[in-house]
Parts: sequence; C-alpha cells; structure tokens
Amino acid sequence: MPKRRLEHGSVEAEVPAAGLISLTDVMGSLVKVFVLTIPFIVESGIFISRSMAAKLNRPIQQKQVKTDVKVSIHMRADGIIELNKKPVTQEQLEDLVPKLLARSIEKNALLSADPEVVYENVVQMIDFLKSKGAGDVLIMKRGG
Amino acid sequence: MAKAKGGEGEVAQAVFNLANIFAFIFITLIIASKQMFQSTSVEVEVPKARVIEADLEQSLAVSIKKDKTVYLKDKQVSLQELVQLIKSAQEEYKAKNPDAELGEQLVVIRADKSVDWQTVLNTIDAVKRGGSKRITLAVVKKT
Repeated sequence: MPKRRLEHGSVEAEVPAAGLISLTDVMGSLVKVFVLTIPFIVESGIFISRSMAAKLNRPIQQKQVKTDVKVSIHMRADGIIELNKKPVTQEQLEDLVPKLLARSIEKNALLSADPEVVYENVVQMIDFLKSKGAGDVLIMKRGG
Repeated sequence: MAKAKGGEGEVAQAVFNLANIFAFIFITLIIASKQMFQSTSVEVEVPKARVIEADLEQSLAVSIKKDKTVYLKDKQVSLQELVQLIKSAQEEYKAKNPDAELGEQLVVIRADKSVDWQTVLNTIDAVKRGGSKRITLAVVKKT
C-alpha cells in the first residue's frame, strides 16, 4: 500500500518524508549508542579482601598474615610506591608484580597506603594488581 | 493526486511521531539511567577501573561524599550509626532471604574519588563491625 502511494506521489511530498526517515535513523542510532555505553555509565564493583578488612584497626605484620604473599605494596603520601618495602618506579612495578605473583600459589597481594593518599590512587593500584593477575587484594593498615 | 499526497502526509506524520517517540525514549534513558541502576540518589564521582568484578544489583550502598559525609542509601549517618544500621539491614536481609547463596547482602562503598584513604578505611571498618563480609568498592568502567 505505501509503495503504491509513492508511485503516484509528487517529488515535493517525498522530500520531508525522506528527511524524517533520516531523523528516525539518527534517533535509532542514538538509542543504540546509549545502550552500548551503559556499561561505562553504570557503577560496578571491585572486591576487596573479605578476611583482612575486619582487622583494619589492628596493624598486622606481613609475616603474620600470609607466608605465601609475595607482593606487598605500600603507597606513601609523597607519591612513592614501595614494593616489598623498597621504593620502585611505575615501570619497575609493572615489570616486577607479574613475576612475583607468578611465584605465589594463592596470588594474593597486600596493599596499604598512608592515610592522606587519595582514594582514586588506591583504587587504581587495586585495579593494576587485579589486572596483573592478583587473586585477592588484602587491604591492611601498615604494621610497624 | 490529492489522495496520494494525503497518504504521504499520513506516512510523514507517522514517521514524525516515531522520531518523537525515539527522542522521548532517548531523553528518558539519559535522565533515568543513573537512578535505574543505582540503589541510592547520593551523587558521588566514583573512580574508574578496568577490572570489573561485581554486579551491584540489590547491594547496600554506603556513599562517602567529597566533604567526607557518609550515607547509608540516602540517609546521612555517623560511623557509629552506620555500624548499627548495617547490622539491622543484614539481619533483615537474612530474615527475608533465608536461602540466599552467600547469606548476606553485598555492601558497596561508593566513595568520591577525591576523598582521602583514611576516610574510606574508617568506613570499611564500620561496615565490617556491622557484620558485613562481602564488601566491594564502586567504580565505573574505564573507557
């Protein structure tokens, strides 16, 4: 039925319809783009250790926690990152963490930070550790 | 000829209506997207991360705003109150869901990315003292 109408229709009448169809396509595309970008808008979560966070008020020595832990990171307020109590650069960290995690059975990592460290930086470190294969990131207060 | 023009006018009107519907859906999606997927209306700018592990559906949201105020869902609370409220929320959840797989509701810490780590630690500690073991940090996926 619509085809027959088009055959008899004038050129003037077809122009606005074609424009509106393009508009429909554009709106359809926008909705599709929006649906595809939902994962980047909606909040998700990264797990932190279930076992260690309860003990946050009590400083714990690394040896007391897990002997299998090969990666212990401390983030200092001045921006310096310590890996197993030695200051390292970002490049060294990226190189060493996967190697150390490979030596561990449970692949857990300890993470502590000075109180003044910005939360975003801590999350980035957790993200980094997980992306390098850490099974569980144990959040803890640094022992003396 | 006039009939044909009238028919095209109807088609154009229908397409125009369809475009309007699309526009309406799109605008509604944009406005409602956050409320649709979040269990709280407290606005915080959470950090971004590549690794995503938890779906936050049916989670208990604890938000920390830039000014370090803490909210349980939409209600501002002190850390002492948070401990008690988490306890009662978890008890309520267990009573309602006796067969829940992990036995407790997931707690999501929605902290503003600019707050200091100590504030987040204190809040996590309060959540743990409230008896929650399943804790996750809210992030948005890094593009």
